[in-house]
Amino acid sequence: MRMKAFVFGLLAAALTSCSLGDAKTAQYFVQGERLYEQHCSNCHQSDGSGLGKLYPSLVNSDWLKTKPDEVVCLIRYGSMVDSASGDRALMPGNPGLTDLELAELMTYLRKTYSNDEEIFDVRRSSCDR
Amino acid sequence: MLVVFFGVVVMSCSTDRKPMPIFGERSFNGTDTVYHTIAPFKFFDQDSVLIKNDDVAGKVYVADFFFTSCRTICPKMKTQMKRVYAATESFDDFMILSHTIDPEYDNVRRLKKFADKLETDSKRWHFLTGNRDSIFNLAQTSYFATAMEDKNDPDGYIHSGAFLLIDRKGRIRGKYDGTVAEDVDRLIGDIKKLRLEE
Repeated sequence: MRMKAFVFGLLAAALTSCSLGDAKTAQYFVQGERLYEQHCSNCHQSDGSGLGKLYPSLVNSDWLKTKPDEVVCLIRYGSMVDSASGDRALMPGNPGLTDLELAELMTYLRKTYSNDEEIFDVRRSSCDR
Repeated sequence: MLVVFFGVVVMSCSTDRKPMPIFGERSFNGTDTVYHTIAPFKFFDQDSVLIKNDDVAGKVYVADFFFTSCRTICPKMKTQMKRVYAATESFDDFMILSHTIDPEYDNVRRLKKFADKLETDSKRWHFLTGNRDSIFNLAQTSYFATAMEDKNDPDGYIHSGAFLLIDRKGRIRGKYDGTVAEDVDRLIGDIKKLRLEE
């Protein structure tokens, strides 16, 4: 009987500490990390440190913190091409990523590099132009 | 016990002193062995300076093939080459030659921009452009590195990620995978070893 109460107590503690929202955020984060390795780490490095000024560092990125909606567009469409110089885009886009994948990636990026624990809402990922 | 200890010391010395291999076909001129060497070349670097064999004669150098808009293996190669660059900072008898295989796009201006963003010094790391066929030909017949156009590849080219280590006499002494950190560690060790060679 005492054992049963203990188990109930444990369950209750687990349920209150880990709400549904947290589980979803954690899932976004894990998927986002996988997407980062696959699509971003080649240039920005696994630890986000980048390479010189060629591939900018993501660590403590202001842009990620203050203008996440611009960042999500950059990831989807790549950087703008300067038509006068004929230079190719510095950062290629990732048009194959879905809205959900972009939201997962943004959740990972913001938690890792700008200390933002909140989930990135999938409705912000559409980046309509 | 002591014998075993000395045995280990002697063995470790002998492996250290093992001469590095010389790559490529060799022929004989009387009693002299003639080794494969890098053929004469002339390319412009990011400062519009003409770089020729004379500029690397008597120097140890590392060569690779890349292009600035490549998204696949080049970022990894440049990350690793930057490690080589940092590790050889104090060597005045060493350089790096990075040849573009997309010279039509990678002109001097774009190579300059690329080198500046990579935060490298043109005295030690030359980014080379020039005649396309000359670059491809030098890659394949002198450095034994793959470099060719491929319409099926997303970037339009296929090329090897190899770093080639060349000695003071223009001979290939090592080939390393420029996308693998451990292989590049070995290259950095070999550069130091090769500089000590006569």
